[in-house]
Amino acid sequence: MELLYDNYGDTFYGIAFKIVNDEGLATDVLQDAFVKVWKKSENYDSSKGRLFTWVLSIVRNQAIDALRKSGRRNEIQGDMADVSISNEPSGSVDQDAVMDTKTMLSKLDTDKRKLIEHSYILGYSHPEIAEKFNMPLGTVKTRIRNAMKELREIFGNGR
Amino acid sequence: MDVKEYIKSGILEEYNLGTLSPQETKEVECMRKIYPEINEALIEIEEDLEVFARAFSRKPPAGTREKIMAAVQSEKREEKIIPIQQVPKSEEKPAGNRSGMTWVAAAAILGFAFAIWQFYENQNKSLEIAALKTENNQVKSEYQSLEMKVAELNQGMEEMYDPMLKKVVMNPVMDDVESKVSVFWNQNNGEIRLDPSTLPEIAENEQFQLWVIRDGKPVDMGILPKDQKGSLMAAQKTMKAEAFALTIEPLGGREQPTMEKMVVMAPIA
Repeated sequence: MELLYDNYGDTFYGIAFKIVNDEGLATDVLQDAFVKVWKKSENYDSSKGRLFTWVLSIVRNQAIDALRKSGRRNEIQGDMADVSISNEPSGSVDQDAVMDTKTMLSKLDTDKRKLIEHSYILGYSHPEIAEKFNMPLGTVKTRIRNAMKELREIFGNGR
Repeated sequence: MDVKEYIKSGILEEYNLGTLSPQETKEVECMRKIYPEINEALIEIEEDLEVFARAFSRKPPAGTREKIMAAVQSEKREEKIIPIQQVPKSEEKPAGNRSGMTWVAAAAILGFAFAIWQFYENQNKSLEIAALKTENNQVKSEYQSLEMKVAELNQGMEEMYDPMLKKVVMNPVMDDVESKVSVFWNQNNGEIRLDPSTLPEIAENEQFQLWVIRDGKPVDMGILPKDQKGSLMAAQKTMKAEAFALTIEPLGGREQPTMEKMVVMAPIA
């Protein structure tokens, strides 16, 4: 568990924070998620995916739950997408690699970034995104795929 | 099934998000085992997701790590404490008996120490189990891919020993070409295979075309794809052949071979 925390703690905390937008709540979310991971670790099956993906989905669900409980899901939805990644205080991040990723992310246009952010980070399902952005479901799926492909290319060039 | 369409459908992304129904999840798990392309696509999505997610990294407030580790440990301890409560119960003695009380206390301390020991043992074991599980899965998938390779090789060997499989070596015809190309002609079913890797480079707007000379006339056996490597199977089959030949033709091939552009040729004995 220490290993998991040391490797991914900052990332999982960042995701939790992105969803709940509150330091205290994000810490609680991270704690509850780690306890859950610890209790359920027997359920993890590496043939079904990476450990990171598994833990990420637990963190995400925990954060969304916490947000629902505090009744702020709706309030936050609106402005969260507008928080630009590069606007985050640089002091909150300690790895150069992360900064690089952020610079690269800023190369992706805002619409595309919003789409993958909603999907992968905020945990919206494709139909939910379709509704929120007023887009046909098929378009949402294609755009998310293309955006990820583009992202991969951006990262590929940066490496 | 069209694997490309399946990958494009967005279902793999949803699988990684965990937004699929249990039935759909099972389906994807099944698919990734059958189609290596799907498995690769899934791994790719996971890697992208990890890189993307890292961009959101943020330092938690000081002390978070300690707090979380303590929470994780106490969680496990709670479960293991249950047996301790049973110890004093079985040792129930008349109240007020001093030695009885000591007994209970001693048993509780022993039980507590045992629980702590068991907790650490369990923690070690579950880590070990997780590591073994991962290892086991790796061995399993390596074994599967080896098994597939052996099956392929076996099939290849069987074909090689088939007396009806004829190996024909086409020799260079053009002056400036040195390539030799082997053709494997299965006289049972008329299939023709060849390995184009030794062929010379040709212009963008040209393609190799395979011919069989049958009853003294050239018959089209198909054009060779430009971008494919490895063993190729001819589009057409032939049960009769007097010779095989490859020519360079414009893209899409021609009905009759351009004799002056014949690269390699082999007469059948």
